[in-house]
Amino acid sequence: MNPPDPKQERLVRYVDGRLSEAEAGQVAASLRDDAAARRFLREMAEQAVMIADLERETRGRRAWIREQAPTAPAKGRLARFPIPSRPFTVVLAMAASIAVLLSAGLLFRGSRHRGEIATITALDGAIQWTGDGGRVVRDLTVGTKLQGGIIEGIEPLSWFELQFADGTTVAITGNSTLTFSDLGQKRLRLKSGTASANVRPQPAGRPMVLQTTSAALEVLGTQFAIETDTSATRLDVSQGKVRVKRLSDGADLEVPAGHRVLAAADHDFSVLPDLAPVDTWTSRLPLGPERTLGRWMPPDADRDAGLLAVPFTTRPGWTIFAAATGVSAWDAPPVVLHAGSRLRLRGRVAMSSPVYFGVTVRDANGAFAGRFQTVRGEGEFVAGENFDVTLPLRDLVLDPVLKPMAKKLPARPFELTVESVWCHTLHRPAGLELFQAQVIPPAVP
Amino acid sequence: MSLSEQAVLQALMQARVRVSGAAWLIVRDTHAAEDIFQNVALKALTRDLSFENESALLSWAFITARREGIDWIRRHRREITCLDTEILELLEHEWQSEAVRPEGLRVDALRECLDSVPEESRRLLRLRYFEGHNCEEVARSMGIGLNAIYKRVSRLHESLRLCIEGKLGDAGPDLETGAP
Repeated sequence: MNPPDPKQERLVRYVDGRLSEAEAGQVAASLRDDAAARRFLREMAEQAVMIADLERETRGRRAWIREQAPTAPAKGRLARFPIPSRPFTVVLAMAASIAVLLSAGLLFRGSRHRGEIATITALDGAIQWTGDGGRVVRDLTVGTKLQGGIIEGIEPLSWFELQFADGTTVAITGNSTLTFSDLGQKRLRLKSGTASANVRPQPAGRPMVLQTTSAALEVLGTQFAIETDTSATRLDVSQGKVRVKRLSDGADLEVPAGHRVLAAADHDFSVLPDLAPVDTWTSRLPLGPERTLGRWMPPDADRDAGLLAVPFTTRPGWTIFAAATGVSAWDAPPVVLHAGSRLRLRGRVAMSSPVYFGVTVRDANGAFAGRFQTVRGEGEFVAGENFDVTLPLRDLVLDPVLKPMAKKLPARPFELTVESVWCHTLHRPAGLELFQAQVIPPAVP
Repeated sequence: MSLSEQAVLQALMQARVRVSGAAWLIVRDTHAAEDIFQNVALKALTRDLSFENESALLSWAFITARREGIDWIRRHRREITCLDTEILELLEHEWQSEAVRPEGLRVDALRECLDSVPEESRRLLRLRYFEGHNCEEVARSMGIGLNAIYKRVSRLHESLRLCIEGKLGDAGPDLETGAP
């Protein structure tokens, strides 16, 4: 190994805070004039960051191995920084159970080298991942293993579920941006959008941390759903409990199962019980475009207020022209569908066209539970005239695009919470407008 | 035309180690540096900011990381001798202007280089940069004199630099594996 360079050694002392004021002044002066000294300092800083990254990665894996195989590891071996082939060897050496050995070994062989920490276990719509020094991956599929990074749903229908090595799952819907890492402690940041999580018990002292622009959540093991935008975070806890800190003033509180909270600087910060579900609902489009998809149009002499369908391209490459309105909101009771429920939609088309109608639903934990739809032929829609259709819920089937995930999703939308009601035309703009949507309860016998 | 959100994300991730490194020079704590980088990324995406080009973004990111670092020192009441703003700016400018290799490759190269140094040296680096001990605490923990620690740390950084460059250039040797 090279002999130490006195200048570099002095920089190490400087960073360690061990130089006198006069000596520190000399170092500062040398840094102004000496490009090599600055280069060494930058190198030291980068190496410090990368060494910590690698150690977090190693410890994260070690924690996972301990959870899978509680037998004590061979002392000393695991303390080494790993090379690509080593973790598999280490797992072989330490595990007591052949079954665990095989599963852990396969996991590392399949996912190692670049520190993959999560696997996509469900996916619909367009998403993309950015990480690994800026690499962008768009051709994500179920089974893709990912390093920590930023994953985005990039269309209104996007939905994906990530599963971490300990079985914790996080699902995101719609246009959302999630930063995630798991280097011994899961750390997530949701920039905007909707997420639900089923969090396995986390190691003591290392809760999963989920941060938004307005709140920070600490989770030890629970199920919850969260919705956030730039100014507010809405949290619903269905199992366990979540500690929430409101970032605007540092106030924090614990939210138990069956309760919810809104963290926003301009709103009362207190724990409220979940609202009892209802089975009837009517859209309020005349009031404005909040929680809608489409171009909102105010009422005028010729028509009601409504949403004009807007185009976007779905993952299979189809362009659809869609209008949608959110149904269950944080500050309103959840709207639940029954087998005898009906949907009523009023609107208009400028050109005759088949129209698809449907609902997006969530399960009791707030997790995405599918999109269910039906289609009505163009003969039912006269160009330039209003339509008014009532659809028995029994007519709605799982969106064929979701067929690959059919095993994970319910076959029918019954007894699920309505996230949104929507309609669209396929491939061509038909000037579809939506004036009103309703959820009608089963008829009273 | 300003950078798209995607371009902002990509550029920040490409500069993660450099921005975190700049933060580390201020706070001297790798975990705090990581937090600072994440805050910088979050601000870039959630505040109503636009960046005309990558250079403007990185310039903002380094400045923001510096401010966050100074704020972190105040909040944690750490007694850290901070470099002059002038020197920090010089370092940040060099960080922004240098041609960089993909950081994923650098981390992989460092991983391999670390594997070829003795366990005692890895322990030293772990104690210093992951556990966050100062050199005196590391010396005590390892039963080695403080001056020897300084010598080892400086030699290790230089050797790792040469090793990483060698691996990325496909020309350099592994580190010598003799005792440090």
